[in-house]
Amino acid sequence: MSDAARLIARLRRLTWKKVGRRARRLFYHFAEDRIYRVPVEEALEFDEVREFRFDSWDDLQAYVPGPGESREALLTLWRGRLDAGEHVYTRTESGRLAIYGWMIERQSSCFLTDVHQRMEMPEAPAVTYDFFTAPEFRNRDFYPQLLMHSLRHTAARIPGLRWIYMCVRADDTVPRWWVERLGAHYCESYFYRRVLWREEKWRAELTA
Amino acid sequence: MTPTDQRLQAVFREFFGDDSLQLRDGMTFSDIDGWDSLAHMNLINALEAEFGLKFSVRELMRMKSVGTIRQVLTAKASSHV
Repeated sequence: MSDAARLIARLRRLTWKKVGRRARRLFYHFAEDRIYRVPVEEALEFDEVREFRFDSWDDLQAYVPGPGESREALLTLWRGRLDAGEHVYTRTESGRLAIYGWMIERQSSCFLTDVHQRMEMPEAPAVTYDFFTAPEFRNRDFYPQLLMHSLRHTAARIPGLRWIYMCVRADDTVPRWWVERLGAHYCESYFYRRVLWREEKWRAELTA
Repeated sequence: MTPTDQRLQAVFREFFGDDSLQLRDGMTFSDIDGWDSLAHMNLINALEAEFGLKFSVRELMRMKSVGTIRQVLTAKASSHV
């Protein structure tokens, strides 16, 4: 798909609600990233689900892009992650990629793009991130299944690991609910607020 | 209809704003307008508040239809007697 065609597809998907939201964002934007962690001994109590696959390039290639999305750009990004030693959990249904989620085995710091801040993590834990369910496969509990599966698999895979970290946007309601219901331990939050051109960034532990 | 079924139906009717809703065990997300993952999360919270219970993750994973919700609720309610 050409850049012009992609732009036209994006413009066609715009609604007045989206336009209003984007206009408001020019003046005000707020984001909270919540950090959770699961101890390895608790992660090992979750069930593995055999339908999920590990580091399957074939599964990633079964991704069907949404309107305006570039399949090539995503595959290039994913290839780069795998080449850098990151891992991916996937599940396909009827020959299509239904859900994926990424994992890094050891990470001591990362940049949280939503809140424009760097987070340091003690003891270089494993990190799970970038979980996505294709729209046609939602409402089937694939997300909590993959979350539990990836936690269990990661905990069993990495010798000497103590913690698995994850980050959830505070307003990402359903994933946040599942992460908390699974018993992940809340650590801290990173905040970002912009009013016109004035930016504020801060971090706080144990906010409600 | 058992008292549990009546309370379950009342929660569904209030939650989805439909006083004529008649629950059947086979009903799933696709059978009730507005029953998506966000609504499901809030429905579970409403059921926990109504019945004074807290569902485990294993129970939550089973609760994908009216029938399985009813089964989990009935089993949980009887174990709390």
